[in-house]
Amino acid sequence: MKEGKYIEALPDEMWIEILEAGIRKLILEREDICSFSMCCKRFNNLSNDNIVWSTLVARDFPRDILSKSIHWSSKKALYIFILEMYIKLERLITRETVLSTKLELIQREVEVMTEQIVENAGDFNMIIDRHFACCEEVDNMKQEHMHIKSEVSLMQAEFVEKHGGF
Amino acid sequence: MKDSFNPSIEPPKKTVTLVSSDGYDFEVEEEVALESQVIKDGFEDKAVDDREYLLFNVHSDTLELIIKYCEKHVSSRKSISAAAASSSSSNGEEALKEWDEHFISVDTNTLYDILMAADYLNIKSLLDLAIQKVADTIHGRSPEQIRKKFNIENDSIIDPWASE
Repeated sequence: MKEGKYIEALPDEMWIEILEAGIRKLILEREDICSFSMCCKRFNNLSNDNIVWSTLVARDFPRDILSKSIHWSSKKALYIFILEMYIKLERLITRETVLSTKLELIQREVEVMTEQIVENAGDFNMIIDRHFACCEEVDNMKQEHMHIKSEVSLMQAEFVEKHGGF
Repeated sequence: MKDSFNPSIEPPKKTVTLVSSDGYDFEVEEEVALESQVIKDGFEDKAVDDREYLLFNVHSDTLELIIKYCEKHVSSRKSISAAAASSSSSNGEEALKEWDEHFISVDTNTLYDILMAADYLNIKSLLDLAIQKVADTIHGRSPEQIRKKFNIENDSIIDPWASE
């Protein structure tokens, strides 16, 4: 009688080949590698293999010059490093977009108020107060917007230089 | 070329004997056995009357599957190239892919046997197929589901995916 064997008994090299081929053929995502790593201690060790993560880096960030870096002894750490940078840049871009829409809205409101002031020259005081408050908010927001905008362009320039775009 | 119209003129098919780890003989056509790179590598040096291979690592159950796979691939390749030569349309490759998919839809223990045998015999396409099947099994599953699928005991201390 044949002895029952479980697939877990596959040799290490075979498991690594499975992960690597799965990544190359777009079957396995980083989430899958993470799930695999949480199955048991042996899979956890296997999943940290540099072949697995350099395949992931090459696939997910093909244009990033860091992907060819030899200075990272752990390719998993390299993957996480690049991924975090991309997430940061994406967040910054989202904030910039939200802010610029807000700015546009408030600028339009100021315009309307200026028109009202001209029209209702007799009944000033209340409108003037609101007007000043609004102007101040516009100024603050403009400053914040400029700040974020320059941060984004700085980071984008850095990305183009270091990572070949995004 | 004319010969092919008269089957009686064809020479008898050369065969090779494969012996499984549990001692069963399997007589297969030469070209089927040659799907294995390991057999192919030393084939020419081996005496014609000594074409017997003892496959110590392959059980008869698995060997039967492997032979079925190789036979299918040899015959499919022939019909695909025949269709290409007569430039008639054929969905041979598509059909073979479907056949492969059905072939590899086995339980994980059989999959293990196929993987080990394909690796041992160095049958690249079958190894790729089996590897892809395992990767498919991992994809989209939680650690707990993978454990269940592969019959793995959870030996990690912390498991954020644990249900309780």
